[in-house]
Amino acid sequence: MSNISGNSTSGLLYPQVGDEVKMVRTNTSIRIESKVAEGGQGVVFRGVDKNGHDLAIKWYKKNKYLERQYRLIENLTSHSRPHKAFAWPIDIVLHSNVIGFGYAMVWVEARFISLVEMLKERLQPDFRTLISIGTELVEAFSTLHSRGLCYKDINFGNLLVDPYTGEVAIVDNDNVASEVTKQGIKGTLRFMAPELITNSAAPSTTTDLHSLSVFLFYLFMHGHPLEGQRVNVSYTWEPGQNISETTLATHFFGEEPIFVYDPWDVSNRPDYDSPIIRWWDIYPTFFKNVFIKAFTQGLKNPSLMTRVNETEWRSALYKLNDQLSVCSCGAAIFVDFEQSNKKCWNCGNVPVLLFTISTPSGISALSEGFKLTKHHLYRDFKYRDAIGVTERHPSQHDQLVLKNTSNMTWAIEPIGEERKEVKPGQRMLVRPMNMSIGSARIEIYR
Amino acid sequence: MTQLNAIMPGGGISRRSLHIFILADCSGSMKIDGRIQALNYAIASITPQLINWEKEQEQAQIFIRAVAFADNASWHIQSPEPISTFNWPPLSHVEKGLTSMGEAIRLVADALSPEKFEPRALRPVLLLITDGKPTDVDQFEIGIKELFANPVGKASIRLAIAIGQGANFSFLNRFINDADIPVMVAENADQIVVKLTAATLAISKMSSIGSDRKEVAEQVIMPEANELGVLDDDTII
Ligand SMILES: Nc1ncnc2c1ncn2[C@@H]1O[C@H](COP(=O)(O)OP(=O)(O)OP(=O)(O)O)[C@@H](O)[C@H]1O
Ligand SMILES: [Mg+2]
Ligand SMILES: [Zn+2]
Repeated sequence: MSNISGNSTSGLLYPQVGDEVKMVRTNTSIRIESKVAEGGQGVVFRGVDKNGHDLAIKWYKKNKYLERQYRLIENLTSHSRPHKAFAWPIDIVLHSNVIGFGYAMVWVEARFISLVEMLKERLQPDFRTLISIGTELVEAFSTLHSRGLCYKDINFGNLLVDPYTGEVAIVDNDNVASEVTKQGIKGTLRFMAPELITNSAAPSTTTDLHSLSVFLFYLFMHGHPLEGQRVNVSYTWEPGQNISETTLATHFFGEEPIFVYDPWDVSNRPDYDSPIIRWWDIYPTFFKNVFIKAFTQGLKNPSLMTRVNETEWRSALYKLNDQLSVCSCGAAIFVDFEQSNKKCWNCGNVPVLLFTISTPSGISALSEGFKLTKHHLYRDFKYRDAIGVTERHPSQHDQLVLKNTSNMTWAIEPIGEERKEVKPGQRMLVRPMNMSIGSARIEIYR
Repeated sequence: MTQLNAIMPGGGISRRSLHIFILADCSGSMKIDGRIQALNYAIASITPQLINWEKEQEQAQIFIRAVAFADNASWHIQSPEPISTFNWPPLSHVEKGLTSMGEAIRLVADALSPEKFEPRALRPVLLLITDGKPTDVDQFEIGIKELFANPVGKASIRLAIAIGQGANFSFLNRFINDADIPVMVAENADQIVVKLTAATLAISKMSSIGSDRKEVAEQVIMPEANELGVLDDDTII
């Protein structure tokens, strides 16, 4: 560690393209291929190891906290990565004649882009992809938090998304620290929890939960949850009216934040031309209520209980996925079981429901891509264990089939037909029926 | 109808404009050492950096304008150009040209007048690049007065890059008018791109709300200095 401070023999602050850096634990070298980005804390390079694999190298800028950073990174490299989404520090790297240090991490491919880039495109990914992005993020943070670590710096430069596969990649993991270290950065202001902005708390899992909710609000609603009319009128150049951005931000995001859809306070509703208005209307009541919780009680009385935690997000996103359907006009819509006459956002008509499936865990819309999971049958939170998948009928495109992807035989009794069996691997035409899978009773109806 | 090709609402998010004004010196001395070419090259090379930054945050949508000054000052890019499709039309020096820096500041101050400037924009950025001192000192005095009498001008982020030994710091410091932000010095033409890259990083950091200009200046503008306050416990990065 002695070689991280002191004087560089080359006088250079960073490795140069073509140089080699060495990983300290394995003593393997990585060749620096190109400079990728320069951030506040350091410079990020793409490197290649001796097997030809790409790695990312972040090299720190000289600063007086270098030794402390070294220990923090060393500590992180001793943890295994909590979830595949994290571009976790693998090992510290050193250079023979450049002072300072860096670390190596998994290379995040170019298919991962900033969420901002995705949200501003005219053509948006389908809702299943949006839900998948949300789910991956929530699962990644859940594993991080369950290890007693917090991330601290959720923002659009650090959480990247693949708009085609719905996967996520989380970079800039060097601020991750255990809950008890009251050190390091506080975050990016517009994502920061109010109590961090007002200096009444230190970064923690609780403050991460606020930032996660802000990110998810952007993902689903295309705007900032606290930036409505009340905030927007304050952006003015009228002489004498111009208050510094930081003062405004501290006030509206820290001291007196108001959710744009606060049910008890309408003063900060979205601006008339805000994209939030259209998106908010599309989602079912139960899902909007989760955001209302996050940005009302979660703002005012911050705690792990009042904020929406990952388990709640996980089940809300799962349920949302189950309520996805299609209107006869062709638009993707959500069925709102709490608001039966809800109009389609696209054609304005009340959509005719296709099929509804009732399982021991509740009712869901049966549309293409719907997955019947273990959780539907046993309420065991095994969201990813699919036992049936809904597909389009191979020849009659307006019909759906449900494929048995489990290893159990299903007993079905379609209305007006006799009992049949659906063996593993077989498909059945979706129509009104009663089903039994093991001990679970299921009903499909219109 | 199936889910996979179901109609989705169109994308888009509300953002605020960030106007960057480049005030570029085209006086006769900019010919020395290929300074003007180095400047053209540097501006072209910071464009991808700005495009990337625009993608990494949700607030600012970047627009560029530019004023060129020599015997007089005129708009090089008058209507705001979005960074995503930005193309820098190269500047050339004016043979034996003077340094009408004052007039250039007046042009920009006028564009910043509250009637002309967008109400919801972020604080604009003024980036002055010169290798000399104003030859229109009376205009410089008026320009500075106009700039700071105007609420937008007063709130703006001002940075200056001095090229070579001929640049006069006392004028540049009066333009910056903030003791925490030093003039950036490019010793020679090669350094223009280095300094402009640092200035761009400073612009992005200073435009992120909640940032402390002094802290950013220490972190980004003076990285050669030894004592840097990058990670104080209450730093917002
Ligand atoms: N593992 C990686 N693979 C590919 N690109 C990466 C990787 N890590 C970082 N980057 C790129 O480098 C940029 C800066 O990285 P990072 O956020 O870690 O730096 P930083 O110094 O913390 O910057 P800032 O202070 O602006 O957040 C990222 O936005 C991303 O574009
Ligand atoms: Mg970052
Ligand atoms: Zn419709």
